[in-house]
Amino acid sequence: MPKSKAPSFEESYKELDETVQKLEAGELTLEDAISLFEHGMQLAAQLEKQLEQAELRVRRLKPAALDAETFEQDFGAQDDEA
Amino acid sequence: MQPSLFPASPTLTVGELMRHLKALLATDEVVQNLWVRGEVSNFTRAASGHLYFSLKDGESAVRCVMWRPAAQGLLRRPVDGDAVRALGSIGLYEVRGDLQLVVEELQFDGVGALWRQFEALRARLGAEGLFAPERKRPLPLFPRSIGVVTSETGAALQDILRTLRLRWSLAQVVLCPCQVQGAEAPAQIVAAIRALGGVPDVDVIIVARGGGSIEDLWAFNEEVVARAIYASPVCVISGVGHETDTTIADFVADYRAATPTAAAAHASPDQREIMRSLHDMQSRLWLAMDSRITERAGQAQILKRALARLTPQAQIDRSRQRIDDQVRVLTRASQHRLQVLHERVASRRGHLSALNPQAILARGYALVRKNGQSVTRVKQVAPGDPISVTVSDGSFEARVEPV
Repeated sequence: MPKSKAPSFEESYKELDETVQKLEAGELTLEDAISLFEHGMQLAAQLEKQLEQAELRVRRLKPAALDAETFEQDFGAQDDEA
Repeated sequence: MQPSLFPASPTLTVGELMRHLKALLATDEVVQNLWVRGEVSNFTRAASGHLYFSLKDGESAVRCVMWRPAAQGLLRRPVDGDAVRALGSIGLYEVRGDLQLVVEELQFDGVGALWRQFEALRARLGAEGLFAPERKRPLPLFPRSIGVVTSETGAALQDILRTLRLRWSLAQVVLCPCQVQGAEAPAQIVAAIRALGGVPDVDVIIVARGGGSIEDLWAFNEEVVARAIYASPVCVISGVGHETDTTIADFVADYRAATPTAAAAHASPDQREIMRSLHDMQSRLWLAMDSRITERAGQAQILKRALARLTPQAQIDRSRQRIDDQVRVLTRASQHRLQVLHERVASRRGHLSALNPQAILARGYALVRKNGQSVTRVKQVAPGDPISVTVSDGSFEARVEPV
């Protein structure tokens, strides 16, 4: 599967999980603990922001020509507002 | 009816008439167990689960009822226009005086062939290993793009989009519209699955269609569709029809969802849950950091104490204390020695008193002095010298006489 340059949500989420576990395991210098803590908080905030700002994008693919065009207009978005 | 000599025909109440007719019907072997062929019309399903419809042909119609237990055995629900054969018995619905066929079994004419085809394909593909549980691929944890194969105009698409918007709006939906019924449908579904499989970031594909008759859903029972799902490079979730419909596509798919909505829910994590887990991980970071600091603070206390012992002041204090201790020890020792001395002195005093000259004088000896000097030898004196003689109770003067 091709990977984009920016870490995916999944990659960041896994990194956060590992960071939490490392910090919980202990046996760290205070400096390492602090930098793990800061890194973890940063990841969590960034993931939260991604979720909060997320809006489902819908793209339409024409199988015949394989030419994709992006739909900015949402399908039936009104249904969900209620 | 034979005309009676006595024209007094019996008069029955409606209820009596109905009971009479019921008894007649119950004893007729033909109407008690028969197949009736006809076309379904006025089909309704009551909330109770009983089915009501009519069977008709060109000239007549008969009302039919299928009680819920029998209806549950149906492969699919009949729709108006279905050509069927119904097995049942004729009864009377007294409330309206209607004759009705109580249906026990319903066979769809023309559909029987489809079902045989379905079973044959299912057996063949199953034997080939297309449904094997061990080849089912895992679902992506956080799908980036979700491919959707369905009709652009169908309710299924709306159900899928609504569900994904609520659950995982971080994803991108890549819709590959296609016909989902009719002669064109199988080829279009296959093309759509193949096209989506080649789109970067598509982690999962939903193949969906809303409910319909077995003929409507038939495209999902085609072998080409089954093989396209099998060959898909990414995980496929099927959501075809209603809960009760099962298609070959459902067997091949990595996950079978009962409806398009369920398929969308299957394809996506719940972002509210993910949000909660993010909050949870932040709390854990705080807690872990807190205990790391407490740990370090405890170690710092120990170090601080160790360090305090090494300052010059502390060393002086310790030396001073050592001196104090020694002084205390010495004092205790010298006191002991003094006491010993005291005791010794006391005992010497006893000896000394035994040497007291006074005690000797008391025994009759006398102390002779000349000019204050003790006279211990004869040569010390000459005749005529004055001497002093001390005895036990005093002294007197005397003069040395020539010998």
